[in-house]
Amino acid sequence: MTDSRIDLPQGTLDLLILKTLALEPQHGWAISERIQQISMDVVTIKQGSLYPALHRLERRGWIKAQWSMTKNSRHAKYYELTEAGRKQLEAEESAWRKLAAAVGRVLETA
Amino acid sequence: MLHDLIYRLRALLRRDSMEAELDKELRAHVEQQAEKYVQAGMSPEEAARRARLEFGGIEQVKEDCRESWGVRIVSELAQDLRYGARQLRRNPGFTTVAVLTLALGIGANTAMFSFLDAVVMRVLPYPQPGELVAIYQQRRGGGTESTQVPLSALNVVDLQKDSQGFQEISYYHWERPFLGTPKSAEYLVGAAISPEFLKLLGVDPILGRAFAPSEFEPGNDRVALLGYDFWQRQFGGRRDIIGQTIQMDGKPYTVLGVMPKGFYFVMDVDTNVLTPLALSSEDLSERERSSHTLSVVGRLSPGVTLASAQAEMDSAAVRLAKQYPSANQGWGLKVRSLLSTYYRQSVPESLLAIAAATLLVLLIGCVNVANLLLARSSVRQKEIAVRAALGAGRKRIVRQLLMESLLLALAGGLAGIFVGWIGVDLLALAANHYPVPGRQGIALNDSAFIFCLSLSVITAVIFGLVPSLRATKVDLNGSLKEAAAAVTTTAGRSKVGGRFIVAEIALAVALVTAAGLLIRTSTNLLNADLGFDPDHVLTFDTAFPPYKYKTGIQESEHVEEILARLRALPGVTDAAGFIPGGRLVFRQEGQPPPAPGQEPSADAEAVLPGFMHTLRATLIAGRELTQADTASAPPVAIVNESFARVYFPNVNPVRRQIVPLSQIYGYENPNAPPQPILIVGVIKDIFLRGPVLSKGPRIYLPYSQYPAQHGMIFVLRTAVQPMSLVPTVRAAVRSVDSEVALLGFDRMRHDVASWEHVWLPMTAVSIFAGLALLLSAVGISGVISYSVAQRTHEIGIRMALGAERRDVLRMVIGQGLRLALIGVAFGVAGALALTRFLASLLYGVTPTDPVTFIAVSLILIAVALAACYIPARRAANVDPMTALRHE
Repeated sequence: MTDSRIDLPQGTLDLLILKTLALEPQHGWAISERIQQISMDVVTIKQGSLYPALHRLERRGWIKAQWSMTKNSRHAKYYELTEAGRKQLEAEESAWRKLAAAVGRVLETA
Repeated sequence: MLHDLIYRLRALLRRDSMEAELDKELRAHVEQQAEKYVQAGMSPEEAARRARLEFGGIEQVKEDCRESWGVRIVSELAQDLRYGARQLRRNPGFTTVAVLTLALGIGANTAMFSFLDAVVMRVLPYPQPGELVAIYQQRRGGGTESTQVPLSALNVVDLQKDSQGFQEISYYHWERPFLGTPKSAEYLVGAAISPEFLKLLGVDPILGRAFAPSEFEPGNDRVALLGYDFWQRQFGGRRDIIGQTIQMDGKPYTVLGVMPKGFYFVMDVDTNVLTPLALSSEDLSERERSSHTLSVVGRLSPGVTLASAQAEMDSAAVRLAKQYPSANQGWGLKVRSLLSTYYRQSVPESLLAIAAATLLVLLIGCVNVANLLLARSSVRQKEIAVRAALGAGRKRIVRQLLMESLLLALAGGLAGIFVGWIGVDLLALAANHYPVPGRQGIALNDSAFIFCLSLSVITAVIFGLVPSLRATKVDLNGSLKEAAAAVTTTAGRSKVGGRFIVAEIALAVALVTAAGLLIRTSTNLLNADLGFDPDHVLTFDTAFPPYKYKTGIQESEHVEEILARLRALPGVTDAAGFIPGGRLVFRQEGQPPPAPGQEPSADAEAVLPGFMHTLRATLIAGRELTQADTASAPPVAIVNESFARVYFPNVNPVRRQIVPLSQIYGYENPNAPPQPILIVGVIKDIFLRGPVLSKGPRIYLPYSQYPAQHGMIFVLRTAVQPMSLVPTVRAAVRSVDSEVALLGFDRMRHDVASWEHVWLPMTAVSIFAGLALLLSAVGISGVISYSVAQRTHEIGIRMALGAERRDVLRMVIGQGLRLALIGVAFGVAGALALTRFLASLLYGVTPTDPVTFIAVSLILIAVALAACYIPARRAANVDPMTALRHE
């Protein structure tokens, strides 16, 4: 759709999903919508990679899933963060901040 | 971690619900997306389309999700297998032909491999057979194996004393003890063995005990171990045989034990009996150091190579030659792996011919299956293109097709094992009539099983992958649009298919030619002029116990008596006998002595009076041998036509004399020095053992003048069914001496000996040739059908433009004929190169026999035409209108 979107670096998608789910349980479509909104449409998630990522996180036990009704009464698979997922999110978030800061510093001084 | 595992298990075991959920989840996503667009003011259809487009290939996403489940490889393989099985079920014709083709090829090869393994590459039935070696003495500079001889007792004892790289060195001596029982008399196969022999082989008796050390002293050595089969046959497997006495060579031996089943040693026959080899002081005297009597077997210490053992023996040989020059000067010692002594028996050409034929069938089968797969892959391009468009990755498609081929190959392999199992049974049956060594061991073996499976898998990978790789190189749009692509790939496909067919026909030509030559050989053999009348003839062999009959003279007295009684039997019209196996080296009287190595020679047989008449042989010149040719009469002989042709060209040999230059091997000649022999008659060649085995110059001498100590083969001409006389004949012989052994009653099936060495290869190769023809026909038919299907449109146009049915038929058949002719040309060229290897099996027909070659070419072309006919007719029946609408 938008050509100015940024391809997410490897592993970042997991982080964004976890962060999104940290607020409240959500289903796949809403997760992608929310990420797009917050990133002001800069980051567009390819549907092709969102669901595999969700399933991967679920397998690792960082999020868990259950089917329930949406506001407009359709069945959807809701994902929520588990305790292990919360720990993982903290670790990844701090790692990401360190990395981003370091990269930023290099870019400024180089 | 645990969570991970549980998740994966659920994904595996509850696959269906996972799949359903996934589908639901993704669909929900697309619907929600569409809803968003509807709210933004799009029409529902447009919104749905756009949401779908945005989402991309749903199959691909599903695929990636499944990957996240961490069970992808397992479940996908299962999925691919299911898919492959479904595809195969959907095309029962294709599947049946392919599986049967593979099964026949693989099965036949498995059977053959097992057979050859049992017959040729047998492993000795002892632990660590690789450590076992045979040690021979050999004249220095004498290179061939035939010059390897046994050792003397003293030399072996010396070797035992200072052996380094050997765990043990033992010796043995072959024996043919004569067993006389109230019921029967026969020669046994036995060996006298040294004390450490059984320990060295690593074999113990299964019943009773092995020899004690004291039993290797002269005087205590009248004890024996029985071979298992002999024990079963002769003593009904009775366990109380232990401790009983049997009479061998007229002396009592106490039975101590029974060897395990399948114990054989060095010769391929089951060893009947083992006795202790007691070395006497005579054996161990220096005088005997130069007598080569003992065969030596050693077991190398672990890790010692054959080369280092040989080096050790080389220095031992030098030492022995220094210490005892008179006996050992000029002799070396040779170490050979015991296993290799087995490989020495060259594989009979007939077996090689069969093995080659089986391989050819497998090749043809593979080509055929490849062809079928190829034809299918191009037919399935559309299906594949659709799958690719739905987002299946190239790797996945290739894997799916590969799985399908693999499934095909495994089915073929399994069926092949079944075929092989039957084949092995048939070969084992055949081997019973066919004295191949090691035939006891024929069974479908593990290695053959593995060989079979790997063959089928390799076949699948190669032939399954090539078409599937080709198949995935599909231009998606083109194939979906379908028209243009079809034309381009058809051309390529036909070219490859055509090549396959050419290869197949060429291989079939080679096989059918071989079969043709062998068939002609056996008809020639069956119709050969044998020079005697084989009808109503009974033959049997006799053996006289050597401990009773010290000389040929003693034997001959009884032979005469037996002959007299046989002649008196009711139903016997004539009786005579002969002893084959002699060799006469001679010079012609009045000719200068020939150069050494250039002496004339001929097979020699000692015969009883009336031999020629009993056989109804044709006397060409001179007279038959009679009662008048006694031991005191001047030496005479009859020669056959070949003899006359070779040594007396253009001269009548009758009344000519020849002078023997050596003992007639195996015949005692009491008239030493040899007196000149007068040729008194010439007969037409007679082929007692068939036209192949009894070829060449042959001379017949009166038995009275050459009383050999070899037993006598009696020949009776009967007025009744020959085999019906066996009991009375047996009684007649035993009434002279109950200890004379009778062996091998036969109806003188003239064809047996020669025909036997050709019937097995002929039958097998003919069956394979038939298979090859069938497979080629299937292949040709398939290719032509395919090309007709592809060209329906073109044919329609041609007919619409006025082509007649005839023209269409001609066009299609011409295409097949072209392929057939090319294949035949290649095949004939190949066969001309290959049939040379059959030469030793052929009789009365050359390996390049033009009749066979022309006939085979015609047969192949006829088969090709027949195979083209059905598709050609279909093409000719094309209705132009439907054909044109076909696109």
